[in-house]
Amino acid sequence: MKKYVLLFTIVSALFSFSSCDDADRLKMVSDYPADYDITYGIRLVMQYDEVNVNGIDLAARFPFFETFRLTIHYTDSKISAVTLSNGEIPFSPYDFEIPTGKTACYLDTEALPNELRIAGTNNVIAYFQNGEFSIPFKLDCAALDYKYTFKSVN
Amino acid sequence: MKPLKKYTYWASAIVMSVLVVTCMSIEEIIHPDNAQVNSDIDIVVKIKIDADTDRSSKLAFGVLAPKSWNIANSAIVTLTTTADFPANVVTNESLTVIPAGENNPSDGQPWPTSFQSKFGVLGNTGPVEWVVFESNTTFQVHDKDDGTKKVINGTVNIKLHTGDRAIKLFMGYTFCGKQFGFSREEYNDDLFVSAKVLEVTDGDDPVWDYTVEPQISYVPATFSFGDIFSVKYNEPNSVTTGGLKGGNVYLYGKARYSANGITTEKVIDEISSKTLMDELGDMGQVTSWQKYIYPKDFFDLPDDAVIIELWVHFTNQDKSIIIVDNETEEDFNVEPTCQ
Repeated sequence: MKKYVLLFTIVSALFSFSSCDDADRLKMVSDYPADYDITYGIRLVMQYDEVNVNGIDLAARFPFFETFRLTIHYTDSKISAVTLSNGEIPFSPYDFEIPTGKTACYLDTEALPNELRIAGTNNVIAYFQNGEFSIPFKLDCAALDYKYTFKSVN
Repeated sequence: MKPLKKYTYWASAIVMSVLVVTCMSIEEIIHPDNAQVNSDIDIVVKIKIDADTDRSSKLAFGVLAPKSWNIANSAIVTLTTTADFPANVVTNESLTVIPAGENNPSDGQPWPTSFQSKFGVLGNTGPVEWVVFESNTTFQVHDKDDGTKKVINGTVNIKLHTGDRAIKLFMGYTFCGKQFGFSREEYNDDLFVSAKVLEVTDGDDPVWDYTVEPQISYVPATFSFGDIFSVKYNEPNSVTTGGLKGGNVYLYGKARYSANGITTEKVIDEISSKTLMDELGDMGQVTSWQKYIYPKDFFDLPDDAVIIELWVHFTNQDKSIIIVDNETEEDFNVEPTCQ
């Protein structure tokens, strides 16, 4: 029995040495992607009014909310562009035309909450706060506020 | 039979008053017996502060009233107190609306939002709002000295101008120290609010009764046709035949709109998932169904369409029963309420 225990210990030690090979560790670091995309779909569509100050989630009420897509493109681990699709939603959360295709943008970290802005414009695509993006907007009545929050659908 | 909700609010008001009788309480609410539309009315609210802690504060006094009365700009609110400590005695001191930029320190929200979040609308089914007033005097309360600063009795006089519509609603009243809001240290969770029915009569139009669920209601109560809102049908549980209980309920809609300079109508009259309403179930006095709509999408209108008028009714699977407005015996006219 002692012989098997000794053998098992030696084999285990050999495996553990091989998994700590420096070359493998370096390779893992160099392969880590610096350029990547994250695509988001709508998680919540909150509607706030004077009575429902904590908001009501409308996301499940309309299937068209499932068709919205926000893709954020990272280059060298920094946000570099955005691709937006309003899908089949019959209104826009923006008072500017939704850009088509991949559009250069940047995250303005000077602003609080951080603003995801289209490069060369004052147009804010989304806000970033507490680890998540959100898009606040109004439709018709000034007393009503709406806000999208997102989940990753990659 | 009187609405159950009315008893619920009276009961909760009494229970909550008992809970806080040793610190802050509303002792009595006096409404006018015969309030008329388009007239000035006087409301009296008697309050009592019996200190459990040593703190000094201005008074924050909240009133829940119909939004259409705009009491923030029209009400005259005064406070008269009796107390052993001379500095706590005021006579007809004006209470003024707390400015918009100031927040309740206990939750960081603007005062009306804070009261709304904490107390809601006290069972009202129509548009009402909290307006919060403050005293100029900082009242000094102590429970450990000679006892003279321990008790303050106050009378709040509220002079309001009623609107041009007869109305029945739950008026709401509450107060706290402005310096500490709803801090647990002062209140030990014994928050209180009192509601009492006020009835304003007369006028040419039908009464707005906010104490019962109307046949049709909307969430949010304030909306425009360019918003998302739900249309809610409330069927009294006393209806045993001729109602829609026990089966699927569908929303019929008709919109009059203009597009490209032309005014026309569009009707959605179909039995499908598009018009199927969600059953909310037995709500006590009524059974309710609701359907959220974005009108342009519901009616499949062009992007540039502007909806001018909108009507709805409710029906069952085989359209053998159609529920229309009890008063007009026509489709319900959906009126946008956003100003």
